[in-house]
Amino acid sequence: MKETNKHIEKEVEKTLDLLKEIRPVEADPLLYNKVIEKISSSKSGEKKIFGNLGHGFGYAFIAIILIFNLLTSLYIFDQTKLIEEQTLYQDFAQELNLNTNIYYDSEP
Amino acid sequence: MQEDQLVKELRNQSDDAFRYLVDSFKNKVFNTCLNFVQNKQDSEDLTQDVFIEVHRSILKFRGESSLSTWIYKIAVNKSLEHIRKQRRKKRFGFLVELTGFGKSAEADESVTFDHPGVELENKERAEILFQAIGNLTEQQRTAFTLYEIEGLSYKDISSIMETSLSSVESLIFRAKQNLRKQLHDLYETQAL
Repeated sequence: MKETNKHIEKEVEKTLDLLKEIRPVEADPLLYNKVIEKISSSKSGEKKIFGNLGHGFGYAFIAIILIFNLLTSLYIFDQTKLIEEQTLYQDFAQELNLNTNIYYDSEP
Repeated sequence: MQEDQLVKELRNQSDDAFRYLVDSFKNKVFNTCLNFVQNKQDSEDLTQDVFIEVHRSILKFRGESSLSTWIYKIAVNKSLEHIRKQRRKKRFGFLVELTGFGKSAEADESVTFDHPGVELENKERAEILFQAIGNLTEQQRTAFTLYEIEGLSYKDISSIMETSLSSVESLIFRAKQNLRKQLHDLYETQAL
């Protein structure tokens, strides 16, 4: 048992000692050219994105106009509904002989 | 070239200064990435990414640490990010296989690493060693790799990891203990 443990410890030490024997590796000699190529292609990519953003702004503008139209129509619809409701209240008030006119400027 | 001068020229987008920087640091960056990610092709890609980041961020370099430490920091962060991404991919691959939706390519990949800087007779032992290093926690692995393989000082490591000297010391100590235990368990199983 002691022998096995000794053997194991020896193996562990041998493996850890290997850390001192790892030699540095040479990097790619064409690294600089590859980096420069990537930098210039990413710059042209950025330009493309900004070019496409022009189209994007166009679409966004159209979308804003459509939403604006939709909201305006809804607002008008709601206004009509409000006027209808006002008229109804006034009719009721007149029928019941209540003095509701003070709330509405448009009434005679 | 003096570091101050180099930084100044890099900030002025000098091509010559950038070429000088790449030539001076490419081996250090490549070896750091290689010892972390344990894959030659990925390390080459990461080395390129590190220099692209340096080129992009040189205006953000405030000179609080040396240029070398700053570049090491970028290399370590990129490598750790890559390792995390690989682990996520593996987990996802495992889930895909578990749910029976397909066979993942990542799950089939061998985890052993053939370090190009290791002698042929030590290849097998080196594979075991790198596998054990790969099982350390991220912090322990970073401190240990930078100290034992890259040969950096505690001070440089504390600057790269943004931690105290005593934490670096403790991380390296615990990393060694963990490695010893892992290797001991492995050789014990082999002896049985």
